[in-house]
Amino acid sequence: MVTLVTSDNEKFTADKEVAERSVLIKNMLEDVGESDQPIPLPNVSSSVLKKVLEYCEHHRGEPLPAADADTTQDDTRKRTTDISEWDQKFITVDQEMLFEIILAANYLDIKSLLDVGCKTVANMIKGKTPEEIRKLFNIVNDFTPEEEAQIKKENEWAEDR
Amino acid sequence: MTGNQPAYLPLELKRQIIDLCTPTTLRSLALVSKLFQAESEVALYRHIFVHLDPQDRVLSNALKAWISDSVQAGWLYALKELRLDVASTDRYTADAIQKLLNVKERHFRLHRLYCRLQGNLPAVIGLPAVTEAHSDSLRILTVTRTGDLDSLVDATVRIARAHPALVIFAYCYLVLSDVLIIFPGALSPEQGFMSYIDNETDCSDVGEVRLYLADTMR
Repeated sequence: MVTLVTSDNEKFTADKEVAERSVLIKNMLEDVGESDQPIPLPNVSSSVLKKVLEYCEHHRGEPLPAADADTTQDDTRKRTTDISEWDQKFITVDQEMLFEIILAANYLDIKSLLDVGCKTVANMIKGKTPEEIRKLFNIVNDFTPEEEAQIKKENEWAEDR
Repeated sequence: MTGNQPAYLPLELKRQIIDLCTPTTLRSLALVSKLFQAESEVALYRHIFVHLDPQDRVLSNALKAWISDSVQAGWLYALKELRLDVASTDRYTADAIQKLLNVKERHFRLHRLYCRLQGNLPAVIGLPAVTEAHSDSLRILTVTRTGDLDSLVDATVRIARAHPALVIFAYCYLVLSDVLIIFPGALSPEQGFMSYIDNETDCSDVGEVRLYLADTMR
């Protein structure tokens, strides 16, 4: 078992196999060797780590994605935004938690969870107008009407195929 | 931290999300705020898909925009992947594609070029010359066709011989000295590939066969 300590000083214990879904934790465990020392995770709060461990527990034993999986697919526009049923249910959280999970997955280096988070945000944006996206994420429009018209004109060629 | 907005995500995560978006979503995203504009437009201008079928009486929006001056010169550097799916053989279309690909006027360097071209369009637009012009950056060339097989095979063989490091996916097959490369298009039953290669191609020197099973155009 591995003990993890969150930013709000809560302790979690997890099977090594589950915790090692995180490349960061795996590397830390390799560095410290056989030790009972708790692993500090100063960038992850207890509520987020609880969710992250739930994800890791569910995906226990699944093969980890190759380190270069992202780069080999990069730029090809072939990456889908499909998310499995369980992952979809898992990531149905409020927006704040969603972005906290994305940040934690990035920090802990859990590529598959990061993918789920990014795909979820991409799916939230999909098909929305600029105004709808601003409303969704509470973003202020900082364009002048002239700038907006110019950008619209420049990009009007873009269409989905 | 105000973490409940994509704007506050680190740049690499924002890029990862943006890379998952389709062109029309990127078009919307570019209009959300200045923060999103730059990254969305880089992603938007990285890939162009030009699709023309015989019923199209006008050029596609992408082709029209890219051969006009409406695309800012600053964005040209972003273009890395061009997909041409053109089933029209008229001179006007060929000229437009040629203009788009002319690297002397356009300062982009393609990494991937996918062409599904009708008839002798590969020869008309000068595919070997285009490949030569982008040879410093071009890594993948995919050429498929719906018309003249001979000219396409001829053009592709010339390109393959001139650029041995280039990864080429062609429509049917290539014989390069002692290597026979067979692509997925050759394997569909209606192509009669085996009878064609039996009758028309000298394979006496072939010592190695490479068989590709995936179509990179899809």
